[in-house]
Amino acid sequence: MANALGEVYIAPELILMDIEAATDQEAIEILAKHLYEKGIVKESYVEAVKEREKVFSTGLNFEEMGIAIPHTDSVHVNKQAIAVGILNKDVKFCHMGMPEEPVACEMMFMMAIEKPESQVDFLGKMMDIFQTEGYLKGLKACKTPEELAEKFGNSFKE
Amino acid sequence: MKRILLVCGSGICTSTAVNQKVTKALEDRGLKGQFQITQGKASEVAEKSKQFDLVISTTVLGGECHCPLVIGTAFLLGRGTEPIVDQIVEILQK
Repeated sequence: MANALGEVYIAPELILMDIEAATDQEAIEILAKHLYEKGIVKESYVEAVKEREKVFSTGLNFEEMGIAIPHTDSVHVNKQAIAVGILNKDVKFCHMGMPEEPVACEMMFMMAIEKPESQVDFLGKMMDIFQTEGYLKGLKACKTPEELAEKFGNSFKE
Repeated sequence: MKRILLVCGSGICTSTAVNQKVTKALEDRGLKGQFQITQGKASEVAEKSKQFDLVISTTVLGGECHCPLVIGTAFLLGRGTEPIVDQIVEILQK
């Protein structure tokens, strides 16, 4: 699914609706391995994104929901995409910029970024969308990966 | 002209998103043309911050910062930004 803000692949095959994980590292590994199995990222991405999270945590405590946006360097990426994982129970991530502050995260948006210059608008736009009242809850309430991918992908169309 | 160094882990992704928000917030405060934002990596702060009036970071810094530092994560969340903007304006007007 292409969108108005550059080529970022969003698809049902990259969405996991029921991730069982006790820690942020476990949760990241599950979704990162899934991206590898789908050919979106190189095998090295899995460890790289886990390590990066330890140094530069990515939890974000939005008003209606805590989420995390794990990502890592483009050298580990084959194709630009964003994977979505719904955690079946809250997982504690550290807040971006304030690692001493835990965030109970309900969803992960894992970014595979290949051409950072094309991401200029994407992340800002995504942050704006996430601030929309009811948006994150609506996304989490989707019943199928197809429904979620469509709703999420459509958000980026002007 | 005040110089702001805006950093995140990679120097590209998050700091770009925050750049747009900070620029708009400062222009709304009537500071258009009075500041210049440069994006960088958190790991460069120790070396580069001496040349800047302010560092805005969305992540933890590896080393020492040689100028005032503000955490800018609020700009991603879109809430709690007013006190941060106040703080930035105050530093820039010094």
